[in-house]
Amino acid sequence: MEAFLAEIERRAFRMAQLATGNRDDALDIVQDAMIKLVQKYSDHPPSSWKPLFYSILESRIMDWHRRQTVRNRFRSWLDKPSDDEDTEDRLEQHPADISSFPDIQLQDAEFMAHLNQALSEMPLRQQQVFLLRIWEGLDISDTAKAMQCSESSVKTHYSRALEKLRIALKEFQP
Amino acid sequence: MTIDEKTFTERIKTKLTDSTNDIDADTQLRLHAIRRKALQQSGKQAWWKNIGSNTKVWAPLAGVAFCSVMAVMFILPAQQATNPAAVSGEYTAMFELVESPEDFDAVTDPDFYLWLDETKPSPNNLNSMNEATSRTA
Repeated sequence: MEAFLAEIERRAFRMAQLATGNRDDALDIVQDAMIKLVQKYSDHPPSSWKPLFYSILESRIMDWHRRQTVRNRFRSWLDKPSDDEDTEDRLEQHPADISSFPDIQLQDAEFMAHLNQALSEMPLRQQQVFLLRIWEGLDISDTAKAMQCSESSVKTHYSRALEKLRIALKEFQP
Repeated sequence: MTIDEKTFTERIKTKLTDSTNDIDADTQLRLHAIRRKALQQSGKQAWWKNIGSNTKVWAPLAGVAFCSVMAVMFILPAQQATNPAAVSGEYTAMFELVESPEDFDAVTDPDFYLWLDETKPSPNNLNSMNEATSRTA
């Protein structure tokens, strides 16, 4: 189990970071997913750990987005714009640009920045399906299990995500 | 998957993997701590979850406890209802008095039965019954 967690922890963190745009929230999500996997599924065969882990991770990311949606609704309700409110405050409240991670500005930074931007702008399920298929190498069946959707949905999400990335990264294609 | 698509996705995969190598040291330390914490949770299940996993142990115990509760709730009150004299302290005391071998003489005295019929059983009368019995003896 330790080797499995060590192998996937960085990718899981980057997936959660892409989905949330926040390092601390991503770490919390990864922690919850790891603890639940160890507590509930450590006696399962190791071959099933990867889809199970990503299923938990996906569920946690969705929960995070739901909570954010509710929080944003309350915030927009409480922070109704007043006449004396200036635009500077709004700029301060705006979330940081997701492409400005310091760790992706080493090599081929422009491509990476565009990739991050395109992935973060994607609908969540498209993003997750794409990352699970391309990055984690899960097949369609395991991706469907992890995402708790049908295999045809996985295919649709994947093809749409790929098309969006093609458009976003067309200037980097030969 | 076409060759173009494969090349494209491979490039994305490579770049994403490279980005994990550039995770800062603080985040890596936190990930390491998270992994340690998760591994420590192994076998640390909440007690109510263990009930479900140890059904063979808990099921008979739960059955015995359930039967005991049912017996206390239904069977004992039913017995009391069908034989109220058995639980009455006054009558019990009377029968004990009569059944005692030491007071055999009193039992054989017909006056005792006349007196017993006239006496209404109550805790106060029990003392007088005892005195009367000893006098008769």
